[in-house]
Amino acid sequence: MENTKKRYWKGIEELKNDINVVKNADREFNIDNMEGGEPTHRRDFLKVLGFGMAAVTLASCDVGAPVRKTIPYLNKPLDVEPGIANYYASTFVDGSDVCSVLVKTREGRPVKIEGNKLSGITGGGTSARAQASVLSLYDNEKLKTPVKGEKAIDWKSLDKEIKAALAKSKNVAIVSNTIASPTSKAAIAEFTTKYAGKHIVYDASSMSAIREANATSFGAAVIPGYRFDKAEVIVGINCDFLGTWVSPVEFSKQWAKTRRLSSAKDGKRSMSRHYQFETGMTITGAAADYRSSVKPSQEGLLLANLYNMVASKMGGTPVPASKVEVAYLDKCAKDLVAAKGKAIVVSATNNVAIQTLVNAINGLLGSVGNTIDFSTPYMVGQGSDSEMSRFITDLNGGVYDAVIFMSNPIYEHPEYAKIAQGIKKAKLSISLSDRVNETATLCQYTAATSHYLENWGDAEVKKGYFSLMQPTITNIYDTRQAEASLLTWADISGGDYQQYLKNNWNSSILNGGKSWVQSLHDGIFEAGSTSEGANNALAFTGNVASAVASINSIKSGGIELHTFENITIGSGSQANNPWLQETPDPISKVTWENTAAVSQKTANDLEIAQGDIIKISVQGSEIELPVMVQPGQANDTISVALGYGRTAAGKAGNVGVNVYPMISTVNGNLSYWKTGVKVEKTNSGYTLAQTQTHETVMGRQAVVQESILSEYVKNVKAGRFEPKIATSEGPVRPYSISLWNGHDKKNHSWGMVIDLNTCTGCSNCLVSCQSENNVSVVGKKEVARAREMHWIRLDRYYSSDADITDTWSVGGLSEMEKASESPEVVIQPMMCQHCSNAPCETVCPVLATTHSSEGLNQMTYNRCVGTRYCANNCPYKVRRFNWWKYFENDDFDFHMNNELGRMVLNPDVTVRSRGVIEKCSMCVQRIQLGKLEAKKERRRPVDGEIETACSQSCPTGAITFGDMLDPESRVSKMLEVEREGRAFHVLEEINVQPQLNYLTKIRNKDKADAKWQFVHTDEDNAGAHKDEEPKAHS
Amino acid sequence: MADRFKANLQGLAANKTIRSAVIWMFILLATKASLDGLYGIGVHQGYAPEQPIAFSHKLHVGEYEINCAYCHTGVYKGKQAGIPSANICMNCHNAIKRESPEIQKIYTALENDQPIEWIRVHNLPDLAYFNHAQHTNVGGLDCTNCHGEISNMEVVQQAKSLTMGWCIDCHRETNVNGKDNAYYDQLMDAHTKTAAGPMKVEDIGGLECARCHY
Repeated sequence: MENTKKRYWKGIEELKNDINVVKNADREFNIDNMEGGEPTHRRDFLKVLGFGMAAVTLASCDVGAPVRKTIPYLNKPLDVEPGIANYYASTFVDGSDVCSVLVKTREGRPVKIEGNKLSGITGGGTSARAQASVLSLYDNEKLKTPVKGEKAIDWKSLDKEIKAALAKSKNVAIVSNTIASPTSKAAIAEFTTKYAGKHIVYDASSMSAIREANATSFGAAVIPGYRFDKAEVIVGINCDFLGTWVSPVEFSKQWAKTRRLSSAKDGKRSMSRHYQFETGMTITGAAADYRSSVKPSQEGLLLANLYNMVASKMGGTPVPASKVEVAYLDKCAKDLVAAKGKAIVVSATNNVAIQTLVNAINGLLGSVGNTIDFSTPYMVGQGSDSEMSRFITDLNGGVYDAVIFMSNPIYEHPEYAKIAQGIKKAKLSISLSDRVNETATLCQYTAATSHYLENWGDAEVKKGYFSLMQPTITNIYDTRQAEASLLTWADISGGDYQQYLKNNWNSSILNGGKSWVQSLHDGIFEAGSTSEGANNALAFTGNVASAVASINSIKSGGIELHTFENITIGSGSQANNPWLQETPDPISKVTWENTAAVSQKTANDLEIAQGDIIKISVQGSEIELPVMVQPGQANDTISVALGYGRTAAGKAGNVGVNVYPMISTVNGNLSYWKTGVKVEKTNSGYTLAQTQTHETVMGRQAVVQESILSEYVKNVKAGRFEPKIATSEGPVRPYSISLWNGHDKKNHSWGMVIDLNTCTGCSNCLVSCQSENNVSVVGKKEVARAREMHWIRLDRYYSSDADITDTWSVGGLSEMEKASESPEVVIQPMMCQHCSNAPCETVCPVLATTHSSEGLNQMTYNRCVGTRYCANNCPYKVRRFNWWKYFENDDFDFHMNNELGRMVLNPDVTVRSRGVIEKCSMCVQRIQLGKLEAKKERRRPVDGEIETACSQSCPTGAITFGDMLDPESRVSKMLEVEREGRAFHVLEEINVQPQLNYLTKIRNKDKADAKWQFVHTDEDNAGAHKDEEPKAHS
Repeated sequence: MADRFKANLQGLAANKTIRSAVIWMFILLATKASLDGLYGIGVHQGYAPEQPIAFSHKLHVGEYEINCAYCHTGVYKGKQAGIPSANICMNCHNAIKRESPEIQKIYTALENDQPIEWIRVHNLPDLAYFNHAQHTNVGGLDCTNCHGEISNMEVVQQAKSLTMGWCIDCHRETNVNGKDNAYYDQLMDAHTKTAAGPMKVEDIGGLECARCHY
């Protein structure tokens, strides 16, 4: 930060120099006394002390040992050894979010999700939702038995009644979201054959238009395989492909491959260029080199303009479309044309005309057959809007005698009211769900389904890429997986889905390619598509003129409402998961609810501000939401996340506001935005539970270091800030003088390298860490008080070059609007840096935090007396204090307050009690276990064998963990190259010598567009510090 | 004589210095006694609860010399040594001494599908992580080091205090078992270069907090 004149800020409050930010700048926990109660007085101390003494006396009366039982198995399974974890391969599926995973089980209960490195799709990466899914298994608000109406019923009677009713039914409808499972689809097909039924598929975030457009454009109604890794120019238009779209974990991996750099002599110095045009700020936009904001109504015209620009350069025929002013559009077109055959344009908008134009551009650029591969289509997003709307009409017309719901349309479909009416017309209505959700409340029967970790199953996310699901625990409650229920009701294979799955795999999937047992062990079977690699350069045959005509008819005007899925809650199916609810949105940093995101300018125009509640009304429906001023938000738009406002999800899930009812059908497809929205302020003074402004950088501006590609190519140290401190012998590097003796590391030196260039902010690491380390959930109120407990946070910095010191004059205000209009974003994972000269260790009065001989900063909970001196003295503000006891406490009624929920706890990690500090331990339990495994085999640990929770499942490989004393480790090799390149320590000037290294963020931006002037010239950097070598960092 | 003694005593009692010395002595002794008492809280050395089945280690270990790991299957592999499951008992007792009322209890447990609820003798607090494999498999320690003479125990009792001080003492005194273990080679080399004596557990970080507390 310090090598540029660029100004960094963490939120509008800081940019504006809000009174509260100034007041709380030096206070880590900034809001106290939210209840308005009296604070504890000094004189209460003696009373408390007196109670403490009494408690000790009472405790000392207990002289006998507490009787603790130890209950062995009667018949121990061969592969279970108490205390040793077993791993089973499985597959997590939630809409587009499909991850092959390994499930760690201890004593028969799943406790952690890890990425499956064998998967060719995810390569061992997972998503935040996959990580959190293990907690949903232990959700005690799930159904414990099947129910009929409101009463529990046993399976036998349920099956009997349903079978009798089905036998009398003429038309049976099964309604579901996309089912990526080939075996599940086969089971449903057999069921529908038997009962003359129909399977209707829809998706909460529909991709119907992509398939429809591809049918006319390329003659294939599929979602093609996207290959971002083959692209040199990537253009995303309202398409969060790194966060939520089609196959985000895979795309993150592909995208990162094009963004990785190496400062080695002949290292890779090229990267893709990524343009993003979007309404709200997403992590994909944050990661882009060039980001412009567009209103949803402009998107079609933007594509028409882009098409014309590309066409005119490539000799195509432009079509008449009105001009649209969007920053960087010309540049984008130029770059696309230059990267012909290595370019990709994607849009997530569910509009056939828009998708046709996307196809036309990709057709012109020769992307099809290169970066877009029709031979390996995705199996997600199979929902059809038209079929669903036909179903709704038919249901109301009394066509269906029986209807079976495998999804929750009453919550997630905009036509919920019509569906609700229609259900009453069916003689039999069944919901296959894990709780009495919004749809199930209207159904006669709810056949309680089990969690995927209790189920058999499979998934084919991409043609030819299969992944298996196997039970990792027996059913906790009296539930049955949906497929088994369907098989039972249709009398197929005795209702035995395990056998059915195995048969289906042996007969139609494996084809002798691999054995069933081996596939089950690996969790995957990837034969690839039979036509993969074949010439699939399909020619574009769509009609551009009619698409543009349709786009020209899109009306704009007034305030526009834009809805989207965020990365944590998604469509809302896992809403009752406190880990996900408390994961801050990587951009807005809001937890526990959705907000109305508006730009600063729009907020000024509408005379609203953060803390206000607004009523948004359009075409008869209205919602009330808190305002969130979002830098980078398109002017005159409001973005609201879907997936919130559940009413029957459970205690944690029924938060926020449901915006699904605001979605409407336009030209036969669900349209996720609306024009002509009316906004009215109804209340103010609301505090959002945002983690954003909880820490400040205290004016130390070199926390984030970044540069642009052209500078990096000239000098690998571009963007590095290399501080010097004054001594009598002139300025020297901070590490060359020290008060400390340092620590002697003979055995290991555990460290990390975090690549800011490939970190997207997907928050997988955050949830993975929470799961591994028993990090408490504290709830919305405590988050608002800056008391969240996450050990790793994803610091998000906005930056811009606008002059924002003047905040009082009219001109100053508009400068501020400019600053927040299109800021650049850097996301920096921040956790304990394991400083070698740790400031926390020197101030602890009880030696509760000490240094290990392996470079770890150790935190001993049982020694901690809670002075919080360490947190006070920590320059990175990564130490978290347990203000309350978060387990077995009715005030924190999350999973740790019930016996079932506590089953998710990692038995190797202490659950911290009230009054102690905790922080990242660099997963010391995993290090210790890895070392022990090596010792047992009389060898040294191999690099990659020991991974921290965050590094293990990072989809982009942005976090690398290893032993810096092992010359063969990846971290050693990276540092060897990057120490005189991109690697930097945060706050090097204070000489704490962290074990964690960061690699500079490099943007592929032209110098003319970079939003700062360079302070250091190239000569400065080239000649810097040749005389004194920096001391070894380890 | 008695009067003189009495007078002397009274004199002593009247002496401020002596009086305060006695009072202080008393306070100090009382404090020491209560501190010792407090330190003893939670220390259950000698704890020998009665078990649901009168299993004799003296007979099985002392007389028949059955290897510990035959029943405690996890002892070289992982964190817990493990309490044997009933099917391990059945390896022998499906033929031997079936009629004994104590062994009949195992049969009843198996028939009723009701696991046997043993009373745990060695309890470490949840905040301490202890791994058997590190000590037995890697360290090469004998079970008796921590569990005492099990072969003489009719009823198993906690032989050692299992306090942190006891752990630390052992880590200070015990030599690292680095023989034929490539893991320790590097450490051994470094140690012999800088120090004279054998390498103790303490020398390789065996006293660091996060070895047992996390």
